[in-house]
Amino acid sequence: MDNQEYNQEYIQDQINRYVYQVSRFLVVKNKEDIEKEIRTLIDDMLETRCQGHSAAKEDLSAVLTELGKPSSLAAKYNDSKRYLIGPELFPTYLRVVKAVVIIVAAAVLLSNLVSLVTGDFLWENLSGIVGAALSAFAMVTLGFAFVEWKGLNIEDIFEETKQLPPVPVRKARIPRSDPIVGMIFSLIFIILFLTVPQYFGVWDAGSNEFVSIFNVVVIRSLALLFVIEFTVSFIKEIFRLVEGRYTIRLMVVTILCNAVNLLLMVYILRTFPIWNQNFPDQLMTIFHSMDADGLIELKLSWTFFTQHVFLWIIIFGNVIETLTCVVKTLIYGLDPKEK
Amino acid sequence: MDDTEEILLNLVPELRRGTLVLSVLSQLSQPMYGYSLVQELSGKGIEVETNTLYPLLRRLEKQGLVLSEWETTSNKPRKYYVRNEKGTRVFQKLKIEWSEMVRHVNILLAEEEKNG
Repeated sequence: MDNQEYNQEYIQDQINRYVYQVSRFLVVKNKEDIEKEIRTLIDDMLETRCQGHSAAKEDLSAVLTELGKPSSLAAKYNDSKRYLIGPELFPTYLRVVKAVVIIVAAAVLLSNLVSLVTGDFLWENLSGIVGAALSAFAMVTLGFAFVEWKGLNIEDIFEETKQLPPVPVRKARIPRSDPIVGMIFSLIFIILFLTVPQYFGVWDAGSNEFVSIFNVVVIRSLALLFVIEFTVSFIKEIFRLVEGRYTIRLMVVTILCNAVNLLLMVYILRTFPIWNQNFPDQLMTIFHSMDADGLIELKLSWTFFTQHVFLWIIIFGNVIETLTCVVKTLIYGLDPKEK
Repeated sequence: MDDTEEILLNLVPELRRGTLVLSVLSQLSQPMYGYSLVQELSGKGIEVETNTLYPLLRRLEKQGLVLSEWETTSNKPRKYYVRNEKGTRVFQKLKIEWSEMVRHVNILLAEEEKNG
């Protein structure tokens, strides 16, 4: 085979490859027609470029560069821009997918926490959260892709176009970071609290053990109640996240959740000895320096704190939070028309 | 840092893009195939990228503004496009729009020159 012949064969092969790639990215009915046209076009362009002498590899590569990548040439032939989820739909999709993934992950986490009570909690269960969040993500994405594909108009569902919601004044807005940070910290707390309550306390270097401020056995037996407590405030935070501003709805939810939590907490604190009664004595054995008077004083303060002060703190915090929400709603959160 | 050149590099093709259909339709009173149209326009100072023109011709055909026919007598099969009656009507309307636009934009530019 002489050089000339080899060259022609090479060029023909490259053209075939290019046309084949373009056709792979085409989503139109008359693919063959376009393929035929592109073939002739490449030929014409080569001819113009070479002005009589036979085409070299460099000529072909220049021509193909001018035509562009197969995928982008095909994109120009394809009728419309094709999206899995287009730019119009995307903001709504993002909003929904975030909320759904967070809620599902939270729900699975909570159900795992409940399994603590029944005793068959496994740390491996936590990987189920990732799985659940992923499938929630996939379901929402598929749903939106379907809407995009069908060209459905979901504006009416997600946007109240006829009656637009009022623009919230700055102070009526709840920054997203607020509930998210809240949820993350309460999650971490509840996990640690229910799995390793013995570490909430003072470390004794001598015996290399922790002296917990809690009665670990009682805490464990009350896991279900604490999970309920946590779930209620988690629901409230999710509501805050989705709502994004102070509204009457949010105010009602906040009052209800806080009331339930407060009643439950008061019930727990008044009924069960969740505190480590022997904490002062155990503390004494760690810090030998303490005298008898000191111990009595410590015991009195500890009893006073666990019987009264802590309860007051809980009530105080709960009431302040509820009041803040009510006041902010009434001042900033109302639709001027509703006012 | 001066990015004027770079911005112009984007703006000029954008300015041209809108006039492309008008330019193409103007040439298609006679049947022409894609590449000959590219060369014809280029010779008249209108630079069109091949990979833009070919898909454009198909779109015009789909919109019913041009007709196409394969010419297979020579060794290279070529697809020829020609303006049909509807295409001519649209072309005439576009021509009027174009003249109006040029007139108005020119007024704006003349004003600017006088004031500036």
